[in-house]
Amino acid sequence: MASSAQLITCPNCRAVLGADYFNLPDLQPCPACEIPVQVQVFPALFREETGAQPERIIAEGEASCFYHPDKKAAVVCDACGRFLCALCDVDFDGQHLCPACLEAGRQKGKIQKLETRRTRHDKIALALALAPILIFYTTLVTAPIALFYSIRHWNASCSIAPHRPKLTFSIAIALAAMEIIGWAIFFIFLYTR
Amino acid sequence: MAGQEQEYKKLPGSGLMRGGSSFLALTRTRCSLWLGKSHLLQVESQGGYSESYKRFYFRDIQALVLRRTKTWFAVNVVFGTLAGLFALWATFTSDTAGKTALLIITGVWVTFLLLNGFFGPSCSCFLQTAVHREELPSLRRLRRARKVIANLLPLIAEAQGTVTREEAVVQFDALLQRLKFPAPVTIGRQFTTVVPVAKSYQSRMHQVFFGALLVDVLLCTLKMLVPSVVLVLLCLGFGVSLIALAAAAIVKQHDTDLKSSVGRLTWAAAIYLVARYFIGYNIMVAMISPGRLNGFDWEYITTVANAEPFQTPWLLVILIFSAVVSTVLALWGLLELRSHHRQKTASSTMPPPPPEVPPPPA
Repeated sequence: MASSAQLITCPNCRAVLGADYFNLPDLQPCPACEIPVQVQVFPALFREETGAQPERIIAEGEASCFYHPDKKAAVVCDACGRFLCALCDVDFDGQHLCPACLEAGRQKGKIQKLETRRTRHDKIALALALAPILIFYTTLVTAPIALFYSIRHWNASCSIAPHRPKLTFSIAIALAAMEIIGWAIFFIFLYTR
Repeated sequence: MAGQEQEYKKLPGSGLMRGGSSFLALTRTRCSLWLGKSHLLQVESQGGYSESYKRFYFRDIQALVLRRTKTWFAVNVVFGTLAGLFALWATFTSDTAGKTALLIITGVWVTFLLLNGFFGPSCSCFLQTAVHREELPSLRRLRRARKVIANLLPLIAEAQGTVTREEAVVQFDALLQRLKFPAPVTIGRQFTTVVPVAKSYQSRMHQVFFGALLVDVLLCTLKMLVPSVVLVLLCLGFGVSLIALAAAAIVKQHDTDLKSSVGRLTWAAAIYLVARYFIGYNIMVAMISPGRLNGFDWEYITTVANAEPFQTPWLLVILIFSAVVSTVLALWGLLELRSHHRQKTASSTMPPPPPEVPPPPA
């Protein structure tokens, strides 16, 4: 169903921008506030979206949806094999999934494209090793914590975007090790003195 | 359902997300854009220790809207002013070490100014889908935004095809009919369907600023009567605060429905205050101690403090002139502000209730 949210409006004054502004090579002043704007539109703007309409079962013995017994099965879930009607079918990333499998995949982190949040353990480990150097005596406590944290989360997936967690962890481990060795030397020096 | 790591390519730029409660850049959310095979990934990094992800699938992108912003100009003004002020300060400093230090700081501001000019005009970029419109904070420079959009166009075309301008006009009319939206009104050669309303001015900043100008009048009067180093220092500090208040008032009045006369008075007051602070002070010192004009130091503060206004004509003229101008600006500004508030109250008053219609006869 179309909604007025599809219209293109000026980001400054919210005046609706007509087709005169679409796909021009340069900025043009908004008709209302005269702020220069440039709009690039794509066919999706004009696409009419319609909801899925599952079919009712007509003949006895026809396969029915697992979740809607009176609706005809259209596809099979690629994860669990259940029959699904057009309404239950979630076409996600080229796979047909049922809502239960989709939710299970999201919760267990098996579908990466549904992940919306991750913790950067590598940066936390580096911060634990690096930041306390400013108040150096705190490194007596934070260096072992940084070392433990780095080893504990060595294999954790830290970011969806390409990055080098192992390099960051290695730097954190090296810094923490140096801090621990430094404290060890200091205590040995105190003891022998 | 294997969780394969996606192949992403980083797109140029990163930016801080607008809004939020923290103004510290260290703790605000920094956004970057990554290009995937079927979607655009926006990574929002909170403090660097956790990340949130938003995916914009190419088949769902309806439009990309660029809007030029005044940030580039504002940054040029700020750095240019700072460079000018420090250069002026260095000119009036005789001490070599002080001059060198001030020139180095001037050089820093000039470097920032040149860098800002090099990166080019600023903009905001918005991505629209069927359900929302999202700003892309990493695309805050026009050149960079256009480069990224140029990279995205073939991918979006592959996912959903292309539309020419002529096709867009025809399909837009069909869309308006489908939405039952009122037909666009032609104004000259442009189309608009919504009359936008400027933001309502809600701040008290102008009241505070014009009130502070009245306090400035009081200080000028006191300076005429009471020779005091503390008073001179207070006036210098208050002068800086007035300039800061003027800047804040100018920012607050931007893009609001505040009466234009109030806006113009605020600008006039800001220019007068800056000129008075630097030029007026140096004129005073030059007249009091000719040939010794070389900066803002303790000796000149004490010289100004100890000078008797009624025996130093130039000082008296400057103080009277400052008092008169501040009075005029303050009173005029407050009157215009009062007029603006009255107009707003009058326009927002509820219309009178409809007259009672007697019931029809039985």
